[in-house]
Amino acid sequence: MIKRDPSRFLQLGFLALLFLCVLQAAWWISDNIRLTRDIEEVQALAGDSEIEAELAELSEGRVNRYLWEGAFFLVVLIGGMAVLTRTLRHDTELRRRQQNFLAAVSHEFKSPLASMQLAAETLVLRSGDADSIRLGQRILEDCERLLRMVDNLLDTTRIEEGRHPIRAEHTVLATAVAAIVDSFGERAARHEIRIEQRVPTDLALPVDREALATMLRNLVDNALKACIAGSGHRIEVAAERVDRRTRITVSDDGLGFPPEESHLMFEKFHRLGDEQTRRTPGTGLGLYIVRRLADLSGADVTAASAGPGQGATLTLSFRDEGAR
Amino acid sequence: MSRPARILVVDDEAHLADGIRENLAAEGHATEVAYDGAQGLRAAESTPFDLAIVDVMLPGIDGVELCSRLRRAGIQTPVLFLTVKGAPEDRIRGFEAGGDDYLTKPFHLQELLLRVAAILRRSRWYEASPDALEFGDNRIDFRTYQARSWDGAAHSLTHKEAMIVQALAERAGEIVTREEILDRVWGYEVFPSTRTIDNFIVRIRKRFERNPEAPLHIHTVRGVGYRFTSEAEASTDV
Repeated sequence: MIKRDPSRFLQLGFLALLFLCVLQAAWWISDNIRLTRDIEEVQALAGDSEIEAELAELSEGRVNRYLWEGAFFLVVLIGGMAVLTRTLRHDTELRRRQQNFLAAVSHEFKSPLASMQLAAETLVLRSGDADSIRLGQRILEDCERLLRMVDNLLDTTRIEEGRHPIRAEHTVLATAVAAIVDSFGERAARHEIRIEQRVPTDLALPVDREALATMLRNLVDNALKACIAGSGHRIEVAAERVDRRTRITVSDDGLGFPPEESHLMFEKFHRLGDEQTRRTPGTGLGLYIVRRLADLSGADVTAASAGPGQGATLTLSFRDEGAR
Repeated sequence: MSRPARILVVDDEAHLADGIRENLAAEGHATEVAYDGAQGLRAAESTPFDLAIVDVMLPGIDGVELCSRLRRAGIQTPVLFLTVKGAPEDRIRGFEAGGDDYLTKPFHLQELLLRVAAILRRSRWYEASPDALEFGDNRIDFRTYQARSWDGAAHSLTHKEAMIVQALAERAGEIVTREEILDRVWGYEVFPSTRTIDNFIVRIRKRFERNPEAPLHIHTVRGVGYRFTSEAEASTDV
């Protein structure tokens, strides 16, 4: 399912409307000319030569006026259509270039990242020297962070352009959650944070696997950052069937947030606190991506916290028709 | 550490290509690096390699085209694609061109080494098995991938088709599950589904069974997998 850009429909609609206007103006001109000629003929039949001459002059003037007015409108309308057609073409070209740019950015960012990651992993795996291993791990951690940021930027652009396809597939939640939790294992261990999973093995959903993985990755990443910044030590990823819905919750005992800010948590670029004194890294896109992907997947997202320093629970709730 | 092999790395990212070479060398493999598609193609055509690790986005000839050209030239060197594009359609394009595995950049070094070891293991299993198979007036040469069927027609098999026949033939008379075939032929990463096997089997039967609807050698065991018999045997469950 690809969502189309509504502004494009608006442009095409406007172009169709202009086309109709052109047809209508042409019809109006020809109709008025015909009407004037008809009147002229009727009055000619009446036979008064003086009135006849006066009317002929009048009618000639009207025809000329209609022609000039009509021609003016037609020129304006055709000019408008030309401008709009050009804009549409330009827009299509811009989209094509943007897509190429995204592919290029993806390649240009990820290739050096892949090279840096390989060099750091080679140090960690083969150097045998404690300092090299420590420094290699530090580079790896920053590589992962950069990669997540690049992925988030690319995901945001794809979603907002309506180019994020959703293909629902039967997905076992326990497997999907375990894969994501595993990928955070080392980072969590470095900060002495335990990630627990409480997902029944028989729970499955028809959901786009890539979208689910992205949502879970961003939720766990958010919890991990909250724990690191708020000295938390425990994250729990749980899933259950409640009221004919399938709910996935990610809870942490980290930073938390003021309850009145819960509605802002999934807003684009929203980040907690003041930018100068902020304790968590990031761009404010992760949870926004979660909300947009949840919308596309037929799920709701909510955030709850008892207050700063008291942890938070973020919930993904898949509506009934999606649950199995 | 896996047994030493000759490996070709084709990637225009010099640092990455050199990093991979150093790691493969540390694992005991002899590695050659090419920094563009044309150079990679020349190297693969002139020297027999046990594996080629190929970036998909390359200047000149891209990785998928490189793999297609190798296959068209009858070179069956296993190909592991590296790419920043990990979408299913990109993966399918790579596999259709004759690729053996796919790894998305950035990747973890351990994962790359594991995949390399798995591909080499599968290749060696293939090389260690018999050179040819004869059944029901059909003959398949596993070294040249050339076959002659019961009607005298000559066929060229793909690497995957030959491996599937071999996976069934090495356990003739026994049931081989779809998962076992996937594991043998594709490795631990199941792609894209067990249905893929069914499509391959249909193609193989069309070539080597007198009546593909009522096969005498490659039998379906419904819901499980397949069973190969070198002697003709009427299928009970198709």
